[in-house]
Amino acid sequence: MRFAFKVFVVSVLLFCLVPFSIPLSNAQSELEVPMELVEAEETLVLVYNSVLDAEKVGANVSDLISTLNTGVQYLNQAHSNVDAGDFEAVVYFSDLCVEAIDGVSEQAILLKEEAVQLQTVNLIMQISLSIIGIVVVIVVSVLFWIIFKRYYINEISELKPEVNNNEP
Amino acid sequence: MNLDDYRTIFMLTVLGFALIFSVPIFNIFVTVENDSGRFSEFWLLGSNQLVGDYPFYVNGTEEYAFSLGVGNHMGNSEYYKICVKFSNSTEFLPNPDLGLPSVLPCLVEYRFLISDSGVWEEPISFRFKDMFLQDDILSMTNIALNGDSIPVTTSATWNSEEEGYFFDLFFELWRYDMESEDFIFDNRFLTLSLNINA
Repeated sequence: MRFAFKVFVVSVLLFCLVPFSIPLSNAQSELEVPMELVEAEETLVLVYNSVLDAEKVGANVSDLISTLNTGVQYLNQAHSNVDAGDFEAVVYFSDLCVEAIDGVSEQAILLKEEAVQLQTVNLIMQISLSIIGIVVVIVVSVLFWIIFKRYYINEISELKPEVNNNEP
Repeated sequence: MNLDDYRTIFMLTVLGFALIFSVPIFNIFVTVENDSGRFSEFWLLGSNQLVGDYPFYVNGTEEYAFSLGVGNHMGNSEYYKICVKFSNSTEFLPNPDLGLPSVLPCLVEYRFLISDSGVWEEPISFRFKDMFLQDDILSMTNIALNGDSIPVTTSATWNSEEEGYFFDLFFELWRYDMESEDFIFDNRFLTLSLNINA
């Protein structure tokens, strides 16, 4: 009976320790990645997001993607050094990544503004040309109809009924 | 035909022309999103840049080469990562039906961005550096990918039917998802089956 009680108490204690042990093991694995690398990854994603915003409005972002890729290459090297346990190199490559993509976000915002302006101009041009086209079609059609109607009435009025004189 | 018939034909013609000219205006207000044609291409070519000449019979001394490629047809730039994993033939490969990646850890990751309609291609070389055979079990402890030495702990038993120790070097394609703010498995993976000689 006493043994069963001990087993019960140990089981309860172990059960209570479970929620604490899981975050601890996770925290240890998270600590293995230096903050510089985490920050570099976050910065890259933020910059990538601004580049995507510019791309969505039609900006040509191929140069920016190329610059971002340079940053990603440094990030790859930082990751491989995490596996190798060389944390100085991780910090070094993480910093290089942030340096490489510095200013890309601002360029993306500028490109986005330019693209939005261009898009607005195109929109106005598109609407204007459409409206002009419709007006031209209506005016030309009305003129054509007036001319055609006159021609048609004249043709009808010039027609003389044929009289068949079959009387002897 | 009388004048009323001509008027009807004329009105229909004018209406047709007016509709043609108003199409650009309709396009501004009505946008049709077509996601069905958006996808990511993922390929593996042999050493001669052909679909063939893949390494299969592998020993512990030689270096083998192939190339991996990704094509972006998603309609915008994408941030990808390729996760390289190594397993024996009984371990878990990704499940394409459920869209789940393999639970095995990544040996190495290749991250890159691709512009819309762009392509990424990278030559990959590998060599098994350390392996030992004991009681018909071949254990791999180290693989060199593009010259970088990576520790692995995978073993395979002798397959008497197909005569070999079979391992899989496989590659999972992941794509960055802005909504979840993390990489998600793109449900695409490629496997290089290897028969390794001790």
